[in-house]
Formats: sequence, structure tokens, C-alpha cells
Amino acid sequence: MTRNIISVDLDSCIGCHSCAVVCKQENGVGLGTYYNKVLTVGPSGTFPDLEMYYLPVACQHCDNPECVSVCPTGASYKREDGVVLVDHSKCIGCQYCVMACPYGVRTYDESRDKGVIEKCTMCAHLIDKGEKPACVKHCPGQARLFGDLDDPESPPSKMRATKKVHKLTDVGNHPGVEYGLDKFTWKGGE
Amino acid sequence: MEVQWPLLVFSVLLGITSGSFIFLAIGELTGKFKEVRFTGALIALVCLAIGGCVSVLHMGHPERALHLLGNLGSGLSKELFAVAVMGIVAIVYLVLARKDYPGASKVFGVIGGVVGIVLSPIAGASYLIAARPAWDSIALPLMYLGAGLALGFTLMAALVLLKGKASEEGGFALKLALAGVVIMAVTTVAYVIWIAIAPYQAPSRSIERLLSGDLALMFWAGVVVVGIVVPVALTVLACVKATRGEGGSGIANPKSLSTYLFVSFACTAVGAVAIRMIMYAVGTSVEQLIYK
Repeated sequence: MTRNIISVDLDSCIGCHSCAVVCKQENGVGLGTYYNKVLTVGPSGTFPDLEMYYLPVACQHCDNPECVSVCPTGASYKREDGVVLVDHSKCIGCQYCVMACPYGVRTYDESRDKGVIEKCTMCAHLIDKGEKPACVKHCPGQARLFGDLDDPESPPSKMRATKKVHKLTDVGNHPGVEYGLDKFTWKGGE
Repeated sequence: MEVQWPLLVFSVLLGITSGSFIFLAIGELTGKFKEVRFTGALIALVCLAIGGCVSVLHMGHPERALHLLGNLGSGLSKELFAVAVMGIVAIVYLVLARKDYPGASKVFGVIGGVVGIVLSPIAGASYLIAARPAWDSIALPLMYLGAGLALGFTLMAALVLLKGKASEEGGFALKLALAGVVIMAVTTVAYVIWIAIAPYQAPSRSIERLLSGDLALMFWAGVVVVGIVVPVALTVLACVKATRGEGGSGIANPKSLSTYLFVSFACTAVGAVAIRMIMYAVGTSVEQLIYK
């Protein structure tokens, strides 16, 4: 079984926002809408022992996505390879999935395809052609890693084997994205 | 999150439908309130219809509503199903209330009551989402049910006093109205307690926002005073006056008592709107990373 995932090596992330920019370019994401954003965590601590890192956030492509279970039409769905998508032809724009997402990474987009939900697609149109997601391909620090978590040779599996990995707060949805962070103290929920 | 007005209005109107049908079902079982059956059921149906239409405004693509059968496990699908059943039962009951079919009227009245009992909680249960800790408790659907009972019972009891056999059935109707507002008060307080003890506490969903923060005016004035204290006080006063009569005369004026209940109903509606506005305000997700 394939479990595609984007992992992020936070120790390598330089906070350049290239992933957010290229995502908008690749997916034609409108003004005010983001599939992917880079947050700054910190600085924290007391001088001179300060810590700060960048946290790229997007849909976590959860193992047990609540956005999928609450969707009344089945428009939000999880593919067999783990990617969570929205079928715009079925989406009635009820925004129930927006409420159900624990991370606030879905939005109701009225600008492009009026009245539907938008979110990160893991560049499904690219990975289906055997390519990497745009954010992974264009990350200058090679902090973003794409691959099958069930394949021990995939970059996400290798990061998992070598670094301490963290996840965003889990309220039963089991977020998929893994964040590798050794240099600083993880500030998020586990 | 922002107040979702179509959903808010829908839930309050749904509460009126729910409570009204439970009241009428009790009437069917006890052989009372015959004079208000038609008017009561008509009000309940109109509220359901208006609420249904208003809720559609929340959707970006209502024309794709047929897809709603795509995931029957979803809370929204269950809600739609319950509303459809309630609508059918209400129409049948309305027709039967006009004719003289006591047996069938009783059967559909009781079915309407049973559907009414689950209608409001089903609407509230749609908000049981782990991502929004301030919503994720059984206290929320119970609060919806409590508001529905108070709204429906006070409205129907007022109708009984105005149109029905006030001298014979008014006392029972008043007792039901009192039970409704007391349940509403208890369930509202229970929900506020849940906000205080919900997991993943954060300033955006803290009880301090209600008690002394930016939501304090809405909470103390809208929920506590107008939404709980006034309806309970007015309904108690109506019950006392019905027992002792105006000025201790032993004779009560049904129209005056119905006014108390209409005002109690209106205040309960204001309180129901206020607590829902607070519910949306404190309904922030565990982590709001991109969108607030």
C-alpha cells in the first residue's frame, strides 16, 4: 500500500516562502487564498538562548480525516495513496469540512470556482505523472520531502529514521505530515 | 469563527418546530389542546420551511443538493433527513388536524413529537467536531433541545390561553411552558460550563471571554438576563397568576397570561440567538494556521 506524504525537515527550512509562492503559481491559487503558508515560530527563550524556526503548513492529509467523514456529499475524499482531495463537481460549499479541519487550512473560495472549498492537493496532477509536488521540487533548502511512507527508501522514511519527528495536534484525525526538528524545541502539540 | 447566520436562524426556527410538535404530541396523548392543533402545526411547518430555505443560503452550490446522499453518515445529511421527515409528518398532521380523524391525528401527532425530540439535537450534533473543542460536547445538542422546548412550549401554551380552552387546559399548558423554560435554563448553563472545561483551552475560546471579555455584554445581557432570567420569571409569574388569579382575586385573565408567555417566547428566542452567536465566537479550531 502506498502512503504518499510530504515531510518537512524544519532544520533545513530557511523560511524563504518559495514553497508558498510556487504553490500559488502551479495551482493558480487566487489572492487571499493559500494552499500552503510558512509561519514563524518564536523567537522564544531568553537572550542569548533564543530559538526560532519556520513551520510550513498546509493540509496534513490526515490518516483519519474528519473533513472527509463530515462531508455530506462525498466531495471531500481520501485516495488510496493517502492524498485528501475535494471533488469540486460534488462540493456544495457547505463549509462543514472547514469547520472540521483542526488546522484552519481549508477555505471557502468565492474567487475562482465560486462557492467551493480549496486546499492543498499535494499536486495530485503532478504526482500522478510520477513528478514531485511543486513545493517539494522547488524548495531551495531541500527541506520538503515527498514519497511513500511505506517505502523505507523514500525521503520521508529516511528523515523519520534519522531525525526526531513531530506532528501537529492530533484530535483523532492523525495528521500525516511529519516535521523533523532536532536543533530547536518543538512548540506545537504532538 | 464568524457567526453563520443562515445556520443560526435555521437552528432557532427548527427549535420552534421541534418544541411545538412535542407540545402537540403531549396534547394528543392527554387528549388536550385540540383547538390549537391546526394553528400550532401550521406555525411549526412555516418555521421549518423558512428555516430550510434560510439554511440553503449557507451553501455555495445548493443546486448540487442531490449529492447530499453521497455520505449518509455525515451530520448534515442526517439533519436534512430529519428535516424532510418532520416536514412530511407536519403536512400530514396539518391535514388531519383540519379533518376529524382522531386516531390518525393522534398517531401522527405522536410521531411528530418523537421526530421533534430528535430534530433539534440532530441539528446540534452536527457541531460535534473534535477540531472545535468548545462545540465537541453532548451539552451542545442538549442546549439546542432545551431552547427548542422553551420556544415551542411557551408559544403553544400562549396559543392555548388565547385560542383554546384556557380554563380547562391553561394550567397544564402553563406547567409545560414552565418545564420548557427550566430545561432551557439548565441546558444553557450546562453548555456554558462545557465552554469553561473544554479541552485544548485557548484565549479565543475561554470562559473569560463570556464572563468579562468581549462577549460579556452578549452573555450577561443577552443570554443570562433576557434569555434565561426574564423567560423563567415571566413563566413563573404566569403560573402564579393562573393559580391565585389577578391580584389574589382567584380569577385570571387568559389573554394577560398569554401576553406573559409571548414575551417569554420572544426573550427565549433572543437568548437562543445570543448563545448561538457566542457558540460561533468561541468555536475556534485547535490550531488556526492559515485561516482564522
